[in-house]
Amino acid sequence: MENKLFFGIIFLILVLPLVSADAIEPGYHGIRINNQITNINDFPNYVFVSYSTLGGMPRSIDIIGKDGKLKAYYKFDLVSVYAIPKSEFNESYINYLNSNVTANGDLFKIYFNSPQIKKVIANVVSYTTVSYIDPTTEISDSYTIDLNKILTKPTKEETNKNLIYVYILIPIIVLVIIIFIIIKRRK
Amino acid sequence: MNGFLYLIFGFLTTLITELIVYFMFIKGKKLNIFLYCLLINSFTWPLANLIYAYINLFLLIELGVFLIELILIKILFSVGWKKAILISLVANILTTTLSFII
Repeated sequence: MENKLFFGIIFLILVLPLVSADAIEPGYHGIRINNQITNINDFPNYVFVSYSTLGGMPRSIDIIGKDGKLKAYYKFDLVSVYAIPKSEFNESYINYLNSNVTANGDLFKIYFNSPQIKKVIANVVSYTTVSYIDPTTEISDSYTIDLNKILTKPTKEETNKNLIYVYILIPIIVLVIIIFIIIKRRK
Repeated sequence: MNGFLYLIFGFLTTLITELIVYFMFIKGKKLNIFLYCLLINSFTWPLANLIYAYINLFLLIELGVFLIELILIKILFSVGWKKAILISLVANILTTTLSFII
C-alpha cells in the first residue's frame, strides 16, 4: 500500500506538470486589457476597424463603434487598427471576408494593402498575465490616433490596483493567533 | 474573472484541497480541523504569493511552504513528525499540481 502511494506521488510529480500545455505560469493569472481610441470622433470621414490575425492567418475584421472601444481578443491574437475612408468602406464586403476567413486569407491581405486604407495602430495587446499577488485588477489602454502615424504603444495606460497590505497583515494576525493557541495549551 | 476573484478562487482551491487531505489523515473534531487548516493556509498562502511576486523560484517557495506547514501541522494537531511530514507532503503535492493545471 505504502509503495503504491509512493509511486503514485512520484507519478503525479513527474507527469501532471507536463499536461498543462496552455496553462498560465503558476502563481500568475490573466488580465484583459481594455483598449479604446479616445479621439475616434475627430475623424468623421473614416471608419475604423480592428483586424486580428493568429500565426499570420486572418481571424476577423471588426468595426469599431463611436465609443472607440476595441473588442476583447484571444490572448495570442495580433491586432491592428485601420482607418478606412467612408467612401471606400463596404460593410457587406467585410462581412463576406469574415464569413470564411480561411478561404479569404489572400483577400484580407489585398484589402489592407490598399493605398486608401491607413494603419493607425499596430500590436494592440488585449491580454497580459500578472502574479496573483500583483494588485492590478484592470488595465485600460487608450490611444490618441493620428492618421499620419502608426502607434505601437498606448498613449495612456491606466491600471486599477487593489491594496497589497492584506498579504502582510493576514499572516501576521494568523501568527499571533497560532502563538496564542500554543501559549494557551502550555498553561 | 477579475484579479480579486482569482485570488479568492486560488485561496479556496488550496484550502479545500488541503482540508480534504487533513480529513483523510487526522481524526478529531471536524470544526477544529477546519479552523487549523484555515489558520495554516491563511499564514502560508499570502506569504508564498507575496514572495513569488518578487522571487520567481516556484519550487523553492513550495518547499518552504511544505516545511512551514509540517511544523504548524505538528504543533496544532499534536501529531508525530512522520505524520506531519506525510500530511504536508501530500497536501502540497496536490496543491502544487493544481496550480499547474488551473
